[in-house]
Amino acid sequence: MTNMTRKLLLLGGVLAFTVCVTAIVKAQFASRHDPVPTYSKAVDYKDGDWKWSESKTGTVKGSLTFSARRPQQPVVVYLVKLGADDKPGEQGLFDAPDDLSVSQKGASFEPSFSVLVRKQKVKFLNDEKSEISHNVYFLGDIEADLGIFEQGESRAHEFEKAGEVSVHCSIHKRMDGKFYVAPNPAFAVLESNESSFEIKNVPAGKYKLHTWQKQKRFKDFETTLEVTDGGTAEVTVEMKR
Amino acid sequence: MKRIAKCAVVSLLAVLVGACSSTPSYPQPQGTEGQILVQLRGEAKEGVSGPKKREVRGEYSVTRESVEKGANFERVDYDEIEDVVVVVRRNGVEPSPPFNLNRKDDTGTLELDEDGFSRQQALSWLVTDKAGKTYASQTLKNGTEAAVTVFAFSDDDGFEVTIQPGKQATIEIGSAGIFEVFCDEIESAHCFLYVTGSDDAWIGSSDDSAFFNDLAPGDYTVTVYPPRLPEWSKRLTVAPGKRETVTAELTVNKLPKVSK
Repeated sequence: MTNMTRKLLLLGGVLAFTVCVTAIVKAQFASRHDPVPTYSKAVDYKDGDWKWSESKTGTVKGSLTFSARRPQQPVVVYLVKLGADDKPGEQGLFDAPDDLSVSQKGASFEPSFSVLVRKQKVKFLNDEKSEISHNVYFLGDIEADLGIFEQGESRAHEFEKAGEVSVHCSIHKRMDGKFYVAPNPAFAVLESNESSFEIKNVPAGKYKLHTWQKQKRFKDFETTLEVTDGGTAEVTVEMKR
Repeated sequence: MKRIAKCAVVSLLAVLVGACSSTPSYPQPQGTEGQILVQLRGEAKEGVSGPKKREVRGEYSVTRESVEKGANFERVDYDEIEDVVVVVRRNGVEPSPPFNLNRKDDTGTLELDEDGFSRQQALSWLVTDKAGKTYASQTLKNGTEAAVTVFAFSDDDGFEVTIQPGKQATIEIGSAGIFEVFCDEIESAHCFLYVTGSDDAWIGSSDDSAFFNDLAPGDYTVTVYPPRLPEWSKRLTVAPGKRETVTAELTVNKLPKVSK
């Protein structure tokens, strides 16, 4: 066996070993990272961000009916994962989507409304053209004060808890906004011209489906449903008074 | 010398009259019943000055107006927060029908124009009529040039009404609660309507005080709902023939501070 042959055999061995190790690592990675949930008009998640403990997933599909004139403002449909005792349990681990930037130019929040996911960070930027101070504070399910910040400064806040939050400035009379913080990424935002939704890649398990209305006009709807591996749970969301 | 003394007496009287007219006088508690006086104190965020205003002289009057750049920049005036709602509840006693039909309180009309509602908060009392029907009513006026649909929903009750331009409508609500009122046509229109079965509720400005008379002795909770600010609440005990005075701070300064 010549030196050249020996070198080629060694190189082939190293290559084969590398391919095997890569395959094993990939398999390990795939078993720990579930598919990304997708839903209508919501935040885009990058592949691999969703780290729910279960890997089997299904779909929740539904339509909304209204007993009277439907709201002109969005309705949010969201899922809460239930524990073994049928009460809201751990919502799983997931990487939050990108930070949301909120401008304060002209003493108004832009965007003035957004649906967030728990753990998502919102950055408020005082981007006024002149020297005007702003403050940001939250009321509702989350109450906090981010302090006063001058032109060019910003403050960020990570929403740890789910719920409705109204956003205000304590200096300016009409500077208001609103957020809804969903407990996990399995939600859909329906605008006034939409009446159906589909939430894909939801980890298998038992859930409670809820609604939240930006401008409350009906009783909020809730129902329990089960997501099975590869299955589709269908639901009719009836908004009544 | 006499003239100087006369002037001094007149000045002293003027000062006394002025002081009496600016301080509201409340009746003293009588017999076995007590009173609660809720003084309201708005407080701006630490380090923030109040609104900048200038005097505008009219033919017969002088008013003050904001010198901020535009409506968006108008500052909150913590010395005069409008539409503050104060509710006093006796602990462990739920108000139940029949409610006082002859209530004289009149919270006025809620008007709507292109900028939104005329008030940030309104208050209505439940009454029970002779037929046994219990309801609260609120008049809504459409000051815009188009028909509007106004609606609200609390936890389990609500209303919806379409009002033609320049017209008004009176809505009836059958249960107590806090109703968030919206309008389909004007996205910024937003107002809270407090419907209560308790006689002991008040709405007014923070430069005034809420006074509650003829309260049976016992434990009470005072809750203050200022618009856009955190609620303030306090439990207290009303003793026979005594007045309890509390000061409610209307401020964001007590919210948990988060800075990142």
